[in-house]
Amino acid sequence: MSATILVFLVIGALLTGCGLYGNAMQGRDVDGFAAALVQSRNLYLLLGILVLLIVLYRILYRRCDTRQRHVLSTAVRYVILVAVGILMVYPLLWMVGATFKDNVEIFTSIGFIPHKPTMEGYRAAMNDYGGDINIWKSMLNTYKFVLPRVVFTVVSSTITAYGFGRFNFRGRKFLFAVLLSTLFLPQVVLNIPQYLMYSKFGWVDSPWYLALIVPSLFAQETYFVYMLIQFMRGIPRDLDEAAKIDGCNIMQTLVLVLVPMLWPAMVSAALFQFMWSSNDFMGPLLYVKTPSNYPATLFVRLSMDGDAGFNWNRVLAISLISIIPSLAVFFMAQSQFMDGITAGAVKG
Amino acid sequence: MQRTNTRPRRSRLDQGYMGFLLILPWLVGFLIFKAYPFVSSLYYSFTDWNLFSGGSWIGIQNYVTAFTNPKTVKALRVTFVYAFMTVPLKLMFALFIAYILNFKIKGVGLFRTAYYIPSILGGSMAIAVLWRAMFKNDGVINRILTILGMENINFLADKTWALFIICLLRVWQFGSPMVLFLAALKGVPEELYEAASIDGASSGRQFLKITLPLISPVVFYNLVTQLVQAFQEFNGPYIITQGGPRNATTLISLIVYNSAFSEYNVGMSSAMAWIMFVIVMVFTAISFGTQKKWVFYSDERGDR
Repeated sequence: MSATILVFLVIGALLTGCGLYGNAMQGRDVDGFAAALVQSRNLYLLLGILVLLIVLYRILYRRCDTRQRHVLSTAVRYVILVAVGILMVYPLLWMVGATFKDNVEIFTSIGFIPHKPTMEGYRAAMNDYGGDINIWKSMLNTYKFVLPRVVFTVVSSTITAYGFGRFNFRGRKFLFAVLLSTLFLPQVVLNIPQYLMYSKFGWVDSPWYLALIVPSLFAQETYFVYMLIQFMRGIPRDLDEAAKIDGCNIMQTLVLVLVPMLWPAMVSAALFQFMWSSNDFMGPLLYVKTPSNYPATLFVRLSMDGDAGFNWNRVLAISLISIIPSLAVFFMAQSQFMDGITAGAVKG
Repeated sequence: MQRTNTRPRRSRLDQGYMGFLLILPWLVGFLIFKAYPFVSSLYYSFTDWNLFSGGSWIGIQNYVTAFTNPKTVKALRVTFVYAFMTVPLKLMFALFIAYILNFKIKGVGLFRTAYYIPSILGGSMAIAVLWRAMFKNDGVINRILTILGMENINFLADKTWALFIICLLRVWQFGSPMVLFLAALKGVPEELYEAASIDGASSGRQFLKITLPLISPVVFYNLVTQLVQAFQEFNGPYIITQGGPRNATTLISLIVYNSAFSEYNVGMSSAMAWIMFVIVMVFTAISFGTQKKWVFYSDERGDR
């Protein structure tokens, strides 16, 4: 047994000992150091057991042959993955559970399964807020600008990517550099002049969400253009040439030949734009002022500010309802999401 | 022969012209929605422009104020602390999980999905609400601390903790850098590890000497994108802490928003936005400038 293992063994034993001692002393009248031990008894116990488990793992690992080692380390990896997975997903599970709890239970139990399930939160969530906006209407508002934005972004980005990816025109290199530099341009620098400009155009608080929709007609989300160009590079040019020989004009080549090949990338772009636009907070915050036009993000905030402190099951129920479409889309199209991230970033 | 020789040349000319037409909408949009706002915000930053009543040129006054007013100086400092706390934590976590997932593990897809969910929803209002509910004074996290026998912490009212909670919300969304790391790790050839094992290199050494150099382009990409993102963080502090307690979570983006839309001081707001822009540019430039020193592109050596 090596010295390191011995040291860790001692530390683990000490911590566990402190934890056990604290638990034994609990409720008795102690002070000073012992009181501190009683206070944090479970933390000490937890840490101690953790350290002892690591020591146990190292000792076992040393005694094993190669095959057993493989099994052992795989097991440890699963334990870590599951533990992290629980940590990641638990807040969401807790949220789902909390929407079925009453307002006292939300803050008194840490489990996610409600003891006395109630639909009170959901019932309250259906209520109008200030008379002219409710959760359903606000969600409808969200998709009123999200869906056009998704369609316009994909179409305009594909056309722009086609222009950059397949044609050699004068100034192409320069314009492509400009395009790439906007990839790093922080939106914050643009917000205020954009706001002043859009208010001159009469786009602020427009019932048609013009400020949120119109820019998407001009392929202004550089990330998607870049992603599509990268993807297009992987499609052999022979296909375009063949189409041209067969008498396709430029737009026919795009629609009939390239779009079917580009389709997976276009779907990814659509999915990401869908998620980002439905989560977008800054845009609606600046450009939607009338409560009856509020999208879900603003509605959730409105209800949180209105109810904070007492009606948490209602607020959480509203929040949960507002993300169900996004969750559904994500679960239906997981692999496209994963492919989409890698398509834009990793070369080749 | 004559015809086949001239036709492609003419059609290429046609094509070039068409290419420009195809990107024209983007170019027009770029000039209206990006170039003009970009330049005019630089102009506004040298004026005392009011959101409703206009203004006049005041030179670098706004920038002087930005670097002397304790509130804005604090915002700059807090933004740096936030970015340098969030980005390394997030990337290390993402790399660690990707590294484990890269061992031939059954159910990679399932784990990957579970880890990715927060990234998809993380930016939404719903999650900000959830975060506030969990870290409330009497929230779940404090209940867990009580069970562990620790003292409760008033997370959202404590200066250091509040910033950490905002940071945690971003670290929780480590999904997309993780997916990128995972894709990069899969590209590292197995033989290299085998050779290193035969030479007796420990797994720690293998990671440092083989894995890290080979995935450095992705580390680089993640670092740049995450830094740019972190410096612009707005939703978390705006919704969860409203910049409080005592401006402990007031990032530059909040100052930009507040000076323009609650104080109507477009000039000051633009100056702050430009300071942020310059900071982001400097870090991007540093990353690109030092890239030769630590980013290893395998095609440079012509062996792949």
